[in-house]
Amino acid sequence: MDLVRNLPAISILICMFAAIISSGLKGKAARVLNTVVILTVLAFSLVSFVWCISLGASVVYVMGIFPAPWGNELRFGVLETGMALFFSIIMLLSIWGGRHKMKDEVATDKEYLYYVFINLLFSSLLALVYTNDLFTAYVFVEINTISACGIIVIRENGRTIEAGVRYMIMSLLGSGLLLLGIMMTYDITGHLLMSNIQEAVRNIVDSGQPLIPLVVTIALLTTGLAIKSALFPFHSWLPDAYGYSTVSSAAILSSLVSKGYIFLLIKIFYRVIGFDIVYSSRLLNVLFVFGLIAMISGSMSAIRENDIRRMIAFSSIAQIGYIYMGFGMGTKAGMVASIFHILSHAATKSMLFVSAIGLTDVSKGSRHFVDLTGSAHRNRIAGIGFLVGSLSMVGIPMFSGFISKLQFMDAAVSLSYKKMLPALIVLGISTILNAIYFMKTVLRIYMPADKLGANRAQADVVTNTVPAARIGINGIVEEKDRLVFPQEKLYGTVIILFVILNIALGVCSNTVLDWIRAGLGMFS
Amino acid sequence: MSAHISNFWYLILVLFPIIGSTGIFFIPFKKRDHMCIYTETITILTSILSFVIMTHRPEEPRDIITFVSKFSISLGFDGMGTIFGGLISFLWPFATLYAFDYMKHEAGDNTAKETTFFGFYTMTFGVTLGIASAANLLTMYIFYEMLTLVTVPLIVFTLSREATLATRTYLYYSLGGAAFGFVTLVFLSNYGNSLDFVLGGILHYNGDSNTVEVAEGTIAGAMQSIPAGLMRLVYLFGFFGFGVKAAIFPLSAWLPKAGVAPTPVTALLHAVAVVKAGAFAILRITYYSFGTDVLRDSFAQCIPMAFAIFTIVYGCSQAVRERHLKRRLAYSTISNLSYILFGCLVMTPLGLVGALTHMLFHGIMKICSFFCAGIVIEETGREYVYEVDGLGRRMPKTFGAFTVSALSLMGVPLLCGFLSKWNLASAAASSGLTLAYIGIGALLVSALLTAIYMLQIVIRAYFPEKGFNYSAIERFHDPGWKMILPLAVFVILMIVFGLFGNVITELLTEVANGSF
Repeated sequence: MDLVRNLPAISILICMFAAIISSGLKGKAARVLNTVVILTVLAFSLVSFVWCISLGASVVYVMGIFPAPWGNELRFGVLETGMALFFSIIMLLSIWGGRHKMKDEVATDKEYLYYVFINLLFSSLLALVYTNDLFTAYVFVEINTISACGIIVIRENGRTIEAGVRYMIMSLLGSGLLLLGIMMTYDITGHLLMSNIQEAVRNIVDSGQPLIPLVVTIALLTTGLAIKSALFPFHSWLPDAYGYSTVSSAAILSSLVSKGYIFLLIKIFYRVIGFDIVYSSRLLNVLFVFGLIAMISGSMSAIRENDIRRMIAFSSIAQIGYIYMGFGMGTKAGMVASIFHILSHAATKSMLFVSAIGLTDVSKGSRHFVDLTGSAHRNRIAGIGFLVGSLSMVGIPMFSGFISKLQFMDAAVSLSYKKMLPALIVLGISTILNAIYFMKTVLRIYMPADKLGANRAQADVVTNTVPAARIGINGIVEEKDRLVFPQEKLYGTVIILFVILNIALGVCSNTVLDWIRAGLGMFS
Repeated sequence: MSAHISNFWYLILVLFPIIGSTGIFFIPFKKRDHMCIYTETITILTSILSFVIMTHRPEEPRDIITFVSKFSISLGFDGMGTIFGGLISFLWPFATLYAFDYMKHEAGDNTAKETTFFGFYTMTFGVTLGIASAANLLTMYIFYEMLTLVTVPLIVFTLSREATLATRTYLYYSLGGAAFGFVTLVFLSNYGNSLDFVLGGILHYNGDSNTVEVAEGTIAGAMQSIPAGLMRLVYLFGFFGFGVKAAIFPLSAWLPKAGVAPTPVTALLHAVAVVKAGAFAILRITYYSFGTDVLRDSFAQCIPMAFAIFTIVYGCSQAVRERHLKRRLAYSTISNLSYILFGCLVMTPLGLVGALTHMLFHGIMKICSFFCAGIVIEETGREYVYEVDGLGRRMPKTFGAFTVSALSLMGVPLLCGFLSKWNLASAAASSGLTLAYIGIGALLVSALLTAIYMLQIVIRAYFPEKGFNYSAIERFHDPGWKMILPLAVFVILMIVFGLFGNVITELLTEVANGSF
């Protein structure tokens, strides 16, 4: 079983090497290599996940020959390996779901570059998940930022370049604050390995030294990562970056990149500082308030939006608000709810982005609501994907979003009154807001395109020019000829897999929640 | 109550119409009649199954799926579930029969559109039975959300702009309401023994310290007891959350708008299944989850009751103002639903009896009057009250039934509507609450207003102005047996229940005492 210990480290390394090799490959070869790498990492993560569950404890893996406190370490338990497994699944589905659009969105001679960035991004995500060293985390945060910026600007139109620049500026600000935070941590504790820092912090608190430097450190670390994961009010870069980049990029950015930072923040809370100390610093209350505001303001912006991609992007702001609100509750139940929501939102949001592209494709590429009318009849599978995603977002039972909502409310009930009532009321209102913009869109895409279309359909029936089987549910002719999918089968499969994943999270939530609790237990 | 049958049958009861309805989508029927026969067979079989299960109830409901540790799906009829389940199982086959003729006209020659309609119509039957047979709050909540979604294609049926807007309103109201109902669910799961429906509630109310104590064995954060005031606030969330479907003012705007749907939908769903599901949910949380001990004589009783009383009068007065036939009936439904809620909020067993009586009888009365209005719209294309002049002579059966239902809604003795008003008023009088006395006044005012808005239609239909030109409406006549048969059955029932209503009252009293 010693071999399994190496798998996480190997996963990170093969992604990095794949990135280097890809830079010398042609587009198609890079694409194949990327798929192979993701599948390999997926298999590795699965094996190490199963191993961690059977082991029932987390594993420290020393990189190189120097032991702690000088050497570099990886550390992984159920939560880390599970998260890596989940990230690989979403990564794979997002890439596959956007594949048919690749030739429209990325210049052919730049395609290999896209996969270079994707591989780099993936390796940095894995490193963020696994590393036990704060400075290594910082290095990979920077790699993550640069490669994320790369997959935004690769589309090479004005909007994405502007979005990329905005993303860069905000992200570097976040990284800067993070770096300051890490420096101060090193200054206070004299360590960079997470477990050693925690010991030192514990000593500081126990010895009764002034806590202000520590609080400032926590604040810097938290703010840095909050900016990078687009917590309100630092979200201004998000709608353009998600809305105009390629579909795979949007899915990956919304469901993986921001979640990677959030996961790092969870690790900092639990493994670097100690959750009780973070709690007593009252910084979580700030996160709680901003989380609540984000839940409302993100949804309000989404309601005003007329562009389906930007609407989904704004919805992400609200969902990230949910996650931070869960942190802000300051209880274990809240944290469990947040981690479940990371999974649930990642699965749902990437599905929504991938489905949305299917809908816009059959609407002459337009993303405006008016043009999307009836698109779900023109592309059935994308319609189903969008429907399931929306139902999950609104929190309909049997889908993953319901379990998140249940967990958040369950966590809110045992809070103090000052936090309980705002949390419950905002959760309720935000459900209504979600229902407004998602259900509006669902109705829109299931409406027949126009009266003209309906009449034409009926005329066709009369003259028997169209076989009856081709009449859709509402008497609209399925315009198969307008579906231009070179790889329609792959796209369909991806949506079906997304739907299965979503329902699996919604129905087998008991097991998933047990894993999350077990993983959190291994953290401390 | 002889041999009990297995719990397994509940699952079949709910799934049979849902799975059967998918057959309507996928089986390529050669003729329209085949589709009708198939649909009617499924509906009737479900109703028979439902009645068989009700008369041979398994003792204890059992969990079917366990979701998250303390949450499970479990089905089982208790007394109140039987009443609601019996009502819809009885009405559904008749409504489907009526819909066959009605939809022929409404959908034109578009069979695909009709398939969609009957598919979802039958599916709704299964989901509503799920609400009736839910044995705990989570199960009810799940079916409640499903009900919102499966009825969407039915409301948006005509695909007009008006229908789209109505559907949107309906969705926002319903999903939003359910979200607040959900808060109640989560609270009850944390502070009660379990989410199961138990007459008298699942909370441990300590009257001396005015707190709700956490039951042993439940995991609720750090607090061992919470103030009863907080629990009552949570009840308000639940009341207004589920009250959306029961169309309590100010959350009633969706119901008149949803009148754009075809009449079988407005008649069965927006007078019985959907709206009664809202009232049913409120009855459930009031009597079976919170328990009346916690709520009685507090703001959790007064505030909702004030709203219910206001809605009774508001619905009636809006109905008087409204000229559109179906929308007038929809406003009347709003008012009548608040009768049920008013009975519920009296919070005594008598109140529950009153509420259940009105739930049963209003279902029959209102579906009958909606069907008559639907016949008028379908046969003559006339939708407004001032257009029905003289139609009584040409369509005697239809307007005969309408007159009976109008009289019954007003509460004329010897018809069933009188009985339910009597039960409600006597429950209110015996409770001794000041607000309840005001409620009785509201019932009287509402009876007067009901007389105005219902009889106006009857009088216009039978006694048009002098010199009315009958030849202009010569071509209109009563519809075929598929539409008349349901009306005949409902009229007979209204009279029978009016004469022998004490049987029903006794049965419902047993339900309210937990002995049925």
